[in-house]
Amino acid sequence: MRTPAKAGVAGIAAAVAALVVTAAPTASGDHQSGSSAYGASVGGSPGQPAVESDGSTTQTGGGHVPAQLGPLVAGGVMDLSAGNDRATAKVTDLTLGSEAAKLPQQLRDGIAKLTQACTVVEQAGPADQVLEPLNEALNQVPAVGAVVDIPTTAAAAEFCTGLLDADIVSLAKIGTLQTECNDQTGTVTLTDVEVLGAPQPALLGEVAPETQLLPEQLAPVARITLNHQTVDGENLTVEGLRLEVGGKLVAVLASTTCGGPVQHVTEVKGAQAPQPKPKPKPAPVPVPVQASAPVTG
Amino acid sequence: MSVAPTRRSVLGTLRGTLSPVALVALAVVLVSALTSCSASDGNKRSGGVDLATLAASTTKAKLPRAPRDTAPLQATEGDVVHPRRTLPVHAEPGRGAFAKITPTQMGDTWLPVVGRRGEWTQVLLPSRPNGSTGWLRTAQLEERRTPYLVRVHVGSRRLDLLRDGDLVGTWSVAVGAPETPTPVGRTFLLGSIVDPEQRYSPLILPLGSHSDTLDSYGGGPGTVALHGWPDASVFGRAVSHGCVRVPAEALEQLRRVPLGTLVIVDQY
Repeated sequence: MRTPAKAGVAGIAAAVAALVVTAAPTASGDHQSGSSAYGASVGGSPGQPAVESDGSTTQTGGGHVPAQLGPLVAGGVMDLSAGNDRATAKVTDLTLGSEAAKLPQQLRDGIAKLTQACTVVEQAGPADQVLEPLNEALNQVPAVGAVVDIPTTAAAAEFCTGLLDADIVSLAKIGTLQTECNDQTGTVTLTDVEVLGAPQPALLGEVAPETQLLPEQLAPVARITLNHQTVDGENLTVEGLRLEVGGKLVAVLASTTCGGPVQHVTEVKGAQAPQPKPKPKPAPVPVPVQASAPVTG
Repeated sequence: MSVAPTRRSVLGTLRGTLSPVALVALAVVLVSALTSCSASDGNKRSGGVDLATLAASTTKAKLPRAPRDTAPLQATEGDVVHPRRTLPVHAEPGRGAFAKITPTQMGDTWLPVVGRRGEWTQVLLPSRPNGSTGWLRTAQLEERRTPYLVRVHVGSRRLDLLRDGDLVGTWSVAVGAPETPTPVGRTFLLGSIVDPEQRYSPLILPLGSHSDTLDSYGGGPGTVALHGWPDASVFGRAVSHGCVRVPAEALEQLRRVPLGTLVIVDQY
């Protein structure tokens, strides 16, 4: 028996521009389960725009990426649908990293020094006059020194050419990010993905659960997870894109939940004693991972 | 369907296209985002706790401020929890955080529940000192239950595997030598690892505990583990550096035991 959805995303819709909600009856069936979807959640706040269904009708809506996402996410038109144990959230024309970003002074200084160091590289100076200033400049760009090292003059030349060709504050564009849950199945699909202007065919189509977009070295700085799935009781939540920066949840885009939202306990005067907590589901059988394990033997 | 997340990285495909310039771009944009977000609502998620300043509770960490396990030989109902994201770990419900716990370390992180108080859950931690615990907010955890319990009897050098309280297997095992004993107390299965650099066991099951006599071993932090051993003559003897060497049949049973399952080591 699945958990029916209860109405309870009140107050979200009003905050969203161009939100339209319509209702249509779902196909009849003996068992109805709720579902919900939202477009974007900033810093753990309730998602917006959002739709929710108790399973008896299909709710649809839409809107735009919230302005609070500021320099990180721009553009983006959202389409949402929630019905009988099935929900979709689609974001189109999404830009990660806006050209309009106002960079902190420290970053601006770091990039300026990087550009200056590259002018020496272009003049084909001796290796010791090229590599040291360049790597020193890299170290002055926050979080970069730990993940980027330029070991040779050839690598320096390649790096500087790339630096001049790229717009480094326009990170990625996504044609469509679509999340869907259907009963206990969740999928995330991407189309037209570009990183720094280069198409990324490896990221087209269905994306595997828990796909990490960023290099492991950047994990202390940020994690971008595609198709993040969590189970809470009878509910499956699928988040299309989940961004954590410095260990903090910054944003979730295109999230769907099937089986209804997490139930909240409400105290009712005169109510009977609370029901005993249901027994948790069985823990998963571990899947061995390949790693170095220097244990005590 | 199975919703147990299968971790996959696109790095294998992206590494070929992610140039150093791209890495710089990623870092710049993300640091920019961090700066802008932290000014507005970045602290809300962790109640003002700056997770970046906290040490991660892993097998490599030492957490002297962690409260110790007060019932080190007591079984539980088998509840285990998985942090959905990086969470602060508190010494007491509502008190300041002394560490953080990440959703993954050796695969997904699963920790045994050893206490409850209101909206808080007390778990065993995988860090030194042995018996370290911490409190997490229950609402931020995925909860499951394991039917298994592993008991290691150092004195009789036996390992018992129980399911729902029933003995499903008992084996003669090798335990720590007198100068490097297997630490007693309550710990848990932390990971399930295939280490291609090791030939003594096809599978290694690191625990949350550490040698009390070796600060490090083999380049690691002295993590105790359950694993196989190619020479059957060791079973029934106290010869290891702290790990519990088990027969192949036992290892085959143990590989199906969920992470987070309690391992209670006693002197009997």
